[in-house]
Amino acid sequence: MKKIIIFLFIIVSSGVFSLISQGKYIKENDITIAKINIDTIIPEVKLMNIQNIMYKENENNIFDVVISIKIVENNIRENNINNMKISIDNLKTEDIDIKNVKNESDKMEYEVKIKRLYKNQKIKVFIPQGVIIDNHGNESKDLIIEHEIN
Amino acid sequence: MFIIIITIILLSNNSLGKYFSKIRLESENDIIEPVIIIENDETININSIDKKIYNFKIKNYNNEEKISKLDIEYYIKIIVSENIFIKVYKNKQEIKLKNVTTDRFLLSKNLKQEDNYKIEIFFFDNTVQEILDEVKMKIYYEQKNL
Repeated sequence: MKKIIIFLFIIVSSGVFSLISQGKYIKENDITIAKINIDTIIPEVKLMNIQNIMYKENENNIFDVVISIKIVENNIRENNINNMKISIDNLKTEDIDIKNVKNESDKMEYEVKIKRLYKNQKIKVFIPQGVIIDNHGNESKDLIIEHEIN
Repeated sequence: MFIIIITIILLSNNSLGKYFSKIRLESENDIIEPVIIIENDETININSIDKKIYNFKIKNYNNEEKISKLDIEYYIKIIVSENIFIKVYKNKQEIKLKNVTTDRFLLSKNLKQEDNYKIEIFFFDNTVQEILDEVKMKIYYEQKNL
């Protein structure tokens, strides 16, 4: 019985002494050494496809033209795709419709629809440099698309 | 008998805890605070894969030449992603890291000490084209012995 009491006394005493060590000084510091932002990939704007679509049935000479454009970039900071310049004779602005058809983390797709164009009519689309700018400041190169409706 | 002894021990334990609290409140100004000063470079902005260098120092004294009165152990953990490689130098000697952590180092009490560190940051892959990341470090301090 005595042994048990001594044993328990030691256990409890060690608990009492452990209270003393609660004052131990412990601290930590968080420091940011470097922020890395490396991006050597230039945003890419490229032509995917051009389609001539008959405007209405039985109107063989009138077409809608759909130009599909793809943007490849992971970290877009500025997107000014609406700044593209489209030159066609007698063009009305209401005949142009720019639509975002795909929006993923690393790529976007746009369709530029130009309505009511005639056979043999020529279209020139100019997408200037810097339409797309990434987080690192890289600018997309310019792109010229020329098309004739046949 | 046994229950009485345990009760007495437990009661004495509680009163001992109160006693310590009282001392702390009354003698707040006598608590020894260690002196640990970190002087470090500003965060580096890395925009290319060239080697970069970051310097910092850990001191146990302040500008008023007040020296720490406690022995403090410390270690450093570097938090870095896999494609970045780092070398750490302590007082111009390269030190090896285990699991991106240094050994424990001692800042001795009452002895003016300054540990100078240099961290070199490299990229494993020279063809790396895109990284958006941070390199961080944690410095842990612990009073050596009471």
